[in-house]
Formats: sequence, structure tokens, C-alpha cells
Amino acid sequence: MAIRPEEVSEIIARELAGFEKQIEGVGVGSVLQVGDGIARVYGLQDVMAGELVEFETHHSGNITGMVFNLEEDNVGCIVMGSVTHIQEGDTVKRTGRIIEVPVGPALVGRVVDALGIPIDGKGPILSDEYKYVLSKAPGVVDRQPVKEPLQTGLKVIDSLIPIGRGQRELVIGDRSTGKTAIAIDTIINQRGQGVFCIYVAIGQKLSTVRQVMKTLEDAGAMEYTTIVAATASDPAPLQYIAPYSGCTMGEYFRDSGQHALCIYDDLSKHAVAYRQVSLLLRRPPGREAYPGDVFYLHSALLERAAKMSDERGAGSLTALPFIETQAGDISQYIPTNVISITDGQIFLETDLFNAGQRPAVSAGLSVSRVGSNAQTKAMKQVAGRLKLDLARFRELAAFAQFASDLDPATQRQLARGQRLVEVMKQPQYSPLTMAEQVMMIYMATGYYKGSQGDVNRPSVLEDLPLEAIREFEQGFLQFTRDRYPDIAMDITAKKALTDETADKLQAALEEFRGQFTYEAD
Amino acid sequence: MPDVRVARRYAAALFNVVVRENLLDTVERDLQNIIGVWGEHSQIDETMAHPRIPTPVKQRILRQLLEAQVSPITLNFLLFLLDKQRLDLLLAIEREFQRLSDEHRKLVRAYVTTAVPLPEDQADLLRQHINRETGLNVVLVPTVDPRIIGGVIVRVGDRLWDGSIRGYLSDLRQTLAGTRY
Ligand SMILES: Nc1ncnc2c1ncn2[C@@H]1O[C@H](COP(=O)(O)OP(=O)(O)OP(=O)(O)O)[C@@H](O)[C@H]1O
Ligand SMILES: [Mg+2]
Repeated sequence: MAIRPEEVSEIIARELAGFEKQIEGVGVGSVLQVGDGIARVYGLQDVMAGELVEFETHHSGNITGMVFNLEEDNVGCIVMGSVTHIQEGDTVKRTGRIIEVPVGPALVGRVVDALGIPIDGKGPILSDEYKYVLSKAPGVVDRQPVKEPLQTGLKVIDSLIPIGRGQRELVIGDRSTGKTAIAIDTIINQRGQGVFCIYVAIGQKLSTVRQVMKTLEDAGAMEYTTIVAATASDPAPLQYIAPYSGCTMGEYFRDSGQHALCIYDDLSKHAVAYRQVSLLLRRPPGREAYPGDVFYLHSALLERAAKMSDERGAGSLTALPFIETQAGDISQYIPTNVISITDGQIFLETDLFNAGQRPAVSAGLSVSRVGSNAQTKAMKQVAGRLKLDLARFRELAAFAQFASDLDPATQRQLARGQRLVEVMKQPQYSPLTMAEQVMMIYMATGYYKGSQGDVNRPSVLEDLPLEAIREFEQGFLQFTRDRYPDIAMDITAKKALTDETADKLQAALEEFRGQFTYEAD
Repeated sequence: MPDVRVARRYAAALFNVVVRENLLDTVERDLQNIIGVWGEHSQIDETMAHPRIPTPVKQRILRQLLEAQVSPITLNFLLFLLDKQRLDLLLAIEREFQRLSDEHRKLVRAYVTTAVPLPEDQADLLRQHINRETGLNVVLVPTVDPRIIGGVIVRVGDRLWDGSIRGYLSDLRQTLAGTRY
């Protein structure tokens, strides 16, 4: 960065000239009680709900708080910092402002806390633009249905549960089922796609957040990503605010005709933080001790994801909220709430995960209600039968253990299903382009919807043992990248699989199959 | 936690009695003294809050401590609070009582913070000024706090005027750095 010294002094001089202190009376109150991230304040007449206040501490400067509860004789505030420095009797000042965070390009590549304050040690964030954190979602007339895909780079999601830009798709599963892994892969895959990513980490361990940051950095994905972190060691109020802050940063892109993706990892911990704050401020507890407005808590957040109308610049904000379930129970309060707010869910299962089926997406329980409008034609052409085949396979799978007693037709179907499932597996940090995914799915099924109708060819995987499939897939990817790059290029350019390209692909597959050897053990 | 609502009710009750009995000055002074002594000797608070010390003992202690010092009505009030297990509200009650009595006397308290002790002539000016603004009699409550560097901070009721150098500098910092928090 090059700044001329004279420029600096000029700016400072100008700012100072315009800086004339006017002493205005501000509303104040005093702290009655403080602890657990909240403070009760006496005074503060005429203060507004949601207004920011400043606690003047004796030793650690000013600490920001937010008015949360207005009661008859006191004001309940949540404290956005450490309450240990606040004492009974400390002065609390009104600011007249509502909570806001910096937005804009200056945030890209940064790690910030829930208030937008940098915590990555890379200097201050130079942004003139601040936006209200708790703003409202765009109205119906400002929106349009989703139409562009948001590629996760994961075969199983992009083919079966496609996500569109502007959609809200829930990722739900027990702990350690690969939720965060999906977030990371999706972010990595946005490289060069013109989608700004905001990863909001709520209530996670600091070490986990650091790990995510490092992974994204190594993958070059921080270039278009912002991390908003409110870790488990941060006060509950900050965890409560964090997703709204992240969302606000994403909205900047949405409203300037660009695209953004917000990932909230995860909203279960967010709800817990909100419950803590609410209970401490004595809001009446309801089901599972959550306050009555916990539904609104998440709907207000997720409604802000939108595909904007053309008049509004056609930008988009996609939301991927995460929910952690207990023992796969999706009928608990928070999961059911969020399921009902979102446009579908990606359900991750521990059993699948442990059986090595990773990403552990349950094809049967996952849906995307609007994303198929946004799926590229090429993907639709090959994925059409995939869903059906997988469903049929799940029915048959129960009989798989009696395989030897089954008739040959059923055995063939079983074998075919197993191969499909095998191809749905994907290691971490290796997202595939849309074209590559189309090729892989065609490889597995031998099916595509051609110009003359369905085309069914025997899959080249049919006579391969299951163990060799992963290797074959890798090998074939490399093979086409080296020898037939035009296949992927054609699919990418046309966004469709032409008969001609499909034939080329088939020929390439057969050629590679002919030279492919594997060690049979 | 000090329950303001409850403190208010106790304060109002005491206040009404005291005004009727024409003992406002006495009781006000009593309460201030008690708060002062309480603050200096933390054992009193500890003893009164101690769960293992039986109430009759606490009553005896209170009597011995205060009988000769305060008016019977104040002492009775304290014993009453003890009986109701509300002694912990004393500070809040005193504050509330003070407020009621100020209101009664058409009096306003201005809390003035300066870096060095405020000279009497300037204090007078300040008093006159606030009197003009509020139309109430002004009692200045001065505090000296060198950390504000210079200037003055005045607080009247729920409003605060910060004319301190510290406030000025912190505003300047925010303006230059463009930070909000
Ligand atoms: N596709 C995959 N292939 C191989 N390993 C994976 C895959 N996805 C996730 N894992 C591994 O599984 C483990 C758990 O993944 P991850 O941390 O993403 O799960 P999570 O559901 O976010 O867990 P938590 O409940 O702790 O947040 C990690 O060690 C990760 O590396
Ligand atoms: Mg995780």
C-alpha cells in the first residue's frame, strides 16, 4: 500500500478541522447488577430497544452493550465484552445508535468478531460503510425465484440436492458427521465463481476456527472469504449477534448485484446462546426452555437470504444454516423450526459416516425444494435416473446380505446400486467442477437424457470390483484432463451434454477401461 | 440482586411516615451516616448477611451499634428490614429515599467530575447555570478524577454532559479511526 505522507497529514488536518466538539447531553443510567454477559441498568430514560449503550468502566475503557429488555424500572442489556470489568454503579451511556458492523470489500479475507472488529492481527478494517445488523429481509416484490446454481463441488449434493443462489438450505446432522467439511469444500469450490463467502462460526472452539481459517488460507479461499467468529469462550451475547453480523456483511454483496454465501455453523449453538441470554434476563421460558420468540430468531435471519429481482440488481445471498442433532433426532424444537423455515435440508447420518460413506448425505431424507430450477441442464440430463436408482437400491439393500439367493436381475441391480453409492463418495478438499461431476455420474450410470430421449448404456464400472472404483474414478479424471480436456470444456461451455460429447465421453471411458488394471487381492 | 421495585416500595413507605412525622432531615442524615459506616466497616454487612447468625443476635447487634446514634424511627426501620430479610436492599432504599426527598425539596443533585478540585467561583457558575436550566435548587456533588485529564463532566439525573478532555480524545480517536466500538 502506498500512501504519500502529505496525503496523510492533509486527511488528518481536514478531519481535525471538521472536528469540533459539541457537548450534548446524553442519557445515562447506572449499573444495578452485572454478570453472565448481561447487566441491569437503572435510568437510561427513553432508551430504545436494540440501542447500543456504553459502559464506562474504571479500568478497561468503554464496553459496548445492547438494550435487550425494557422493563418497568430497569433496562436489561447484553454486554458485548467481558462483564468482569463492569462494576455495580458504573455509568452507562446511551449512544442513539443501533448495532451495526462494517461491510464492503475491506472485509474480504479477514477474520472478525461479531462486531466486525478484526481479530486476525492484520490491522484495522478500512471501511466507511456500516450497516445495521438487525435489518429486515427484502420484501416479496424485490425478489425473484432462484435460477443460478450454487455449486458445492460435491457430487452427491450438486446432483441430488442442488442448491440455487439465494436459497436457504439446511445442513443437519449429529456431531462429527462432516458438516463443517461440507462448508469448507463449498467455500473452496466458489473460487472464481464470483461468490463471496462468509463463514460464521458460532460457539465453536477457537482451535477449530483457527483450523478452518488455515485450511481456507491454504486452499487460497480466503481471497474471497470473511470469517465471523464468536467462539465458545466469547460471551453469549456475541454468539447471539454473530450470524446477523455475518448476514449483514453478505447483504452488502447481495444488494450491490453480486453474490454471497453465508454459512452459519451452527444455529443450534446460536439458539443455546440466545436461550442463555433470555433466561438470564428472565424472559419466560417455553419448550425446551427456549424463549417464545426463538422461531423468529432464526426466521428473521434466514429470510434475509434472497435472490433479488432484476430491478434490484439481481444479486443473491445464499444461506447454509447448520444444525447439530442429538442421536439423529430431527423432531426436537430447534431442528423442526429451522427445517420449516428453509428450502430443504441436507441430512447427514452417523451410520453412513461410520460406514465410510462420506460425505454422509442421506439421499432419502435430503431434499432441495427450489434448487432444481437452478440446476444446469447437463446435470439434469445425467442425474435424472440417479435419484430413482439410489432409492430403489435402498429398498433392495436390506436384502443384500442374502445376495447369493437372489435372482440374477436383482443381483445386477444391487451391484449397480453399490457402484452408484461408491461414486457418491468424495474425499475432502477435492471439489469437482460441474462438468467433471456430470462425467463421473455418467460413468456410474451410463445414462443420460439425449436429444432423442433416454440413452442407457451399460456402465463401465459394472465388471469392476467395488474396491477399485475410487481408483478408477481418479484415474479417469486425470486421463480426461490429460487426453480429452475438450469433453469437460464442451460441457462447461454449453452447460449441456450433447449427443456428440456423450459419445466422446463413452469412447474415452471405454478406452480408459481397456487400459485400467487393478490389483485383485 | 437488588430488586429496585421492592426497594422503591420500602423507600416510599418510610418516606411517607417520615414526612408526616416531620423527621425528614433527621432520617435522611441517619441513612447517609449508616451507609457511610456500613461502607467503611465491611464486617457489619458480612454479619448481617451471615446465614448462621440467628436473627435475634443480629437484632441485638444492630441495636447496640445504632441505638445511641440514630433516631428511633430509623432504627425501627432497620430492624423491620432485618425481620423481612431485606437488609441487602438498604443501599438501593437509601438511594430511592434520597431521590424522593430531593423531589420533595425541589432540589437537584449535580454530580460534577473534574481533574482537579473545582474552585468555588466556578462551582458557583455551574450551580447558577444548572439552576437556570432546571429551575431547581442545585446541590453540587463534586468528585475529583485526574483520569479525565481536564474539563468537566456533569451528570444531572439521567443526563450527562461530557466536556472532559478524555471524552474529547476518545471521540477524536473514534472519528479518525472510523471505528464504532
Ligand atoms: N468427505 C470426507 N472424507 C473424509 N473425511 C471426512 C469427510 N468429511 C469429513 N471428514 C472428517 O470427519 C471428521 C468430522 O468432520 P467435521 O468436523 O466436518 O464434522 P462436523 O459435523 O462439523 O463435526 P462437529 O460436530 O465437531 O462440528 C473430520 O476429521 C473430517 O476430516
Ligand atoms: Mg463442525
